[in-house]
Amino acid sequence: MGRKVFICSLAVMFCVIAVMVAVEAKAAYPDKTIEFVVHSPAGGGSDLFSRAIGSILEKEGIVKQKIQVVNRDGGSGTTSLNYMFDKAGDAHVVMQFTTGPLSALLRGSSKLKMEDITFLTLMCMDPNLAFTRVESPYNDMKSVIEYAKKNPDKVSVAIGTVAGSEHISAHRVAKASGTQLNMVGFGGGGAASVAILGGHVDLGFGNVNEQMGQIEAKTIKPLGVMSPQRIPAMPNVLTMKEQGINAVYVQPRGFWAPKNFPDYALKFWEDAFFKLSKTKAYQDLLKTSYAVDSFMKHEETKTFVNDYIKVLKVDVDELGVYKKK
Amino acid sequence: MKKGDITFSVIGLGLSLWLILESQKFDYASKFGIGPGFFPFWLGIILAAFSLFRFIISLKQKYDAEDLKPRLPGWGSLGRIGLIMLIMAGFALVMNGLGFILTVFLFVSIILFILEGDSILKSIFYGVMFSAAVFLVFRYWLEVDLPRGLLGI
Amino acid sequence: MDIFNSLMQGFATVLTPFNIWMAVIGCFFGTIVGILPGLGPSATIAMLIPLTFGMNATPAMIMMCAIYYGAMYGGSTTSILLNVPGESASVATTIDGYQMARQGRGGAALGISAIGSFVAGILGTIGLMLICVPLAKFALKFGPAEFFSLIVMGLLTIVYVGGKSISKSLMSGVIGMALGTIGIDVIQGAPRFVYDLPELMDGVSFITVVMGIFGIGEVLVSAEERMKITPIHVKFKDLWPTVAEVWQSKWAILRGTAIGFFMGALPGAGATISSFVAYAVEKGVAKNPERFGKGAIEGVAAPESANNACTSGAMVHLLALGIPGSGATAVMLGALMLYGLKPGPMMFHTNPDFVWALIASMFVGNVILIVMNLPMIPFFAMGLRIPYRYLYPGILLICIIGAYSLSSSIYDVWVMLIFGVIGYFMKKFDIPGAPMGIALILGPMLEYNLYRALALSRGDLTVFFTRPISATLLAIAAIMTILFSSKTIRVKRKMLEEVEE
Repeated sequence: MGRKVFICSLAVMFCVIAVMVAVEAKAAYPDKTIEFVVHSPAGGGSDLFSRAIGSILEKEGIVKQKIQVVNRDGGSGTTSLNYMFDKAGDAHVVMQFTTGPLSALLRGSSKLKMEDITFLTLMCMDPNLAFTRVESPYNDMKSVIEYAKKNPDKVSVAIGTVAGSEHISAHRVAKASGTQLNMVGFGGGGAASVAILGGHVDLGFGNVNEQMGQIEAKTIKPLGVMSPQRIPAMPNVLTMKEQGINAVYVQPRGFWAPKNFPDYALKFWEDAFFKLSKTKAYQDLLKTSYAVDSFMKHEETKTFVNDYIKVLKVDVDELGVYKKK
Repeated sequence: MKKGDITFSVIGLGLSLWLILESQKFDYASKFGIGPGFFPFWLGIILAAFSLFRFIISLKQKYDAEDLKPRLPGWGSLGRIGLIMLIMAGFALVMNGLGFILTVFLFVSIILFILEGDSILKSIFYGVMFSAAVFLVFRYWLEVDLPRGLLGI
Repeated sequence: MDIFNSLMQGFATVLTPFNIWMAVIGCFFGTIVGILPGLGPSATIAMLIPLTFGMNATPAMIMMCAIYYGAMYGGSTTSILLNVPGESASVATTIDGYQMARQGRGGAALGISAIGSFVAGILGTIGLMLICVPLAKFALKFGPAEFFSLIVMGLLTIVYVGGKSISKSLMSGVIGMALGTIGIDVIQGAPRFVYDLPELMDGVSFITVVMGIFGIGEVLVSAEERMKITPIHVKFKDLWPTVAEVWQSKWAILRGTAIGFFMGALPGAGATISSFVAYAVEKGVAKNPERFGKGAIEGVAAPESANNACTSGAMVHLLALGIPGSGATAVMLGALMLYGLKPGPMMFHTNPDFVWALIASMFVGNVILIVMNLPMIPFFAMGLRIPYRYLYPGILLICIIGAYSLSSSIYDVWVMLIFGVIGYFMKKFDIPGAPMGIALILGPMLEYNLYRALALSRGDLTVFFTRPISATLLAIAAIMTILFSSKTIRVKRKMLEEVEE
């Protein structure tokens, strides 16, 4: 008799748990693994940022599901945009955006268009700076520009890819100061840094995060900051504006989602990223990467990106990236 | 060797012509140095030179012993190779829909059944073994991002 | 003595059970991803980074480095046994390694590559310890003009890695360079040969082309006839190299190590070029070079030592300059920054414990790898006893997975299939594939450095001859060409005379 009761109660308990689990599963979005799409191959700055964010979201319990970073690199960002196009309506796909995918959108070579995007949030801005090697005669941007004005094309600048962030920075400086700089493409940051350290090129632009180690080792010196304000990590370095050059460039990092992203998911992620931005782990991440916290929600992000793209388009057009002969 | 080399040098000539023509679409020089059109253009010229050289040398060459036996195998073997390529192309076409693991099963079973003449049971057996191995190693253990399709696998 | 003391301190840090365990895990994963083509060390390191977030920087870096050189050990396995190069750095190994495997000496080839890698790893780490900073300073002297001349020298290896006909090797090389021009160019951002296919904007990836030409092409040649069960006969005594064979390769290993170490220290030159150069040098100095391409053990030992020594060279760059010299070290650099370390010339001063622990871990890791790898070799070599009819679907699958996982797209699979067909016909018409591979890597580097050098000198062509390093390199290249062509002409004359008699 006792055994029967025991089995019955066990069965009832099991049913209750099963129902609870089912209800729980229905109620709680996200109910399966989240994909974090990155436009660059594993190991790049954007990839590491996504992986770090994903792991903080999991560790702090903000997102209860597993977050998997997927790299859809290729076509200078186009591949990731096409992937997002194919994922329209999927509530479990989120993609990091930064200048790269935004330029790809501008180029118009992807199936995804601006109006297909559901903006979630803007997280931070990476500050950029101009620098040269420590042996160089220049100590600030002003003297570089003075020299360049008298000697057009004599000052060489190492840039990464054509119309990449360094190229746009250099172009804005040249345009604002009315000088001609000899911009030489090095394809990537690593080769450009070596050329500057070796004294083969006069001037470089880049991410503060990537150059900090060199600055502290006194192998390179900062000449000016591309952000609108000075950055806390190097309070003595003047901004371009303070040196009389009306040029600004910052690199935003944020997240967006595909077309027809459900409202409840949008709410969830706005909230999740907000909680994330308040965690100590995230603030530490920003500190070690010298990024500036600039959290924005859905609507603000949309306006911000629209404005950002408008300015970017002017530069990209002027650089003649896709002019055809 | 003679026939093969003549064919290759003709293909080389064709490619070089195409390179030279295509390179005209881009700037030959940039401000201080070479432009995007420089390299394709000169590659075309160099390829043309090598191809012509090979072509003339081959014409002068006598037929050697290797020319007597055919370089390509018979139609049966070419058919087999075509089939393998077709099956691989089929693999690439269906793997997003079916999911990688199921496709592996079909791929291995079909190759063994059609090309190697194994019995249907044996083919299916090996198909299951292969897909199980791929599942264990790549999906379960290394967590490689292989496409999931039907049945979520 | 200072170095010795610091190193002992490093060993004291590394030889804790937890750190050794990290090194073992890293070595194991590294070897596995090295064996599987397409899955490179950089992607693996990146995937494992979140796992290490809870740890200190030291064990995390130990694990990442272990993955890096583990992958270099493992990379030779499929190139030797299946003619499928796992990494671009092991293409040179396929030339003689696969021939050895076909003669039933796959175990010997795998063994010599493990031993060569071990020697190279240990010597490279010693080199890293002793001359890290001066070497890094020297590497900085390499500007675009120097790189251009270095690459010109590297391109000469085309005639060494090709087959009998030099003109066909050169044609194959030029076609490889033409393939390298596909994609967005560095000069103006012009899309060349893209034809509105977004995937082509990044160009064709070297590894897909090589997997197609070598791997798939070889399978297609072998699969012409229905497979009779005639697996390659592997004798038990051939499962490891003999002492005589190892002794025979000693100079090849040492030369390969030196070449790999110095080229690894030059950013961007990397493992791939050094392995080809090491191969060419071996063939150049050999008494009877005609053995090469037919299963010469030195032809496996040299490139494998070179690509492993390269990892130490790349670490020189990372530790002394704080600039990544290869894809995998770029990921490590990013990871270091996530841990709040600032890689750069100051690392030796600000974090000496960390740096020396890392160097000590490289010694430990190499020992772990050789202990782990040698017993595994017979099992891999015995794998060739599997009847080919069951082996080749597996090879095709490995290639497909490898191509797909490069960037998770079917596009790479299609490219590989196309080059598989091309590779089949190339094999049938005796057109060597290795020159195409090396030119595909070096071609774009040649073009960009020519462009950069001219842009920086503002159109002055004399930079290549007035800068001392560049001029020296070009002189070496010229001497190599003259020596090689006089040798070839002599051989050809002799052959002609014999034919006419």
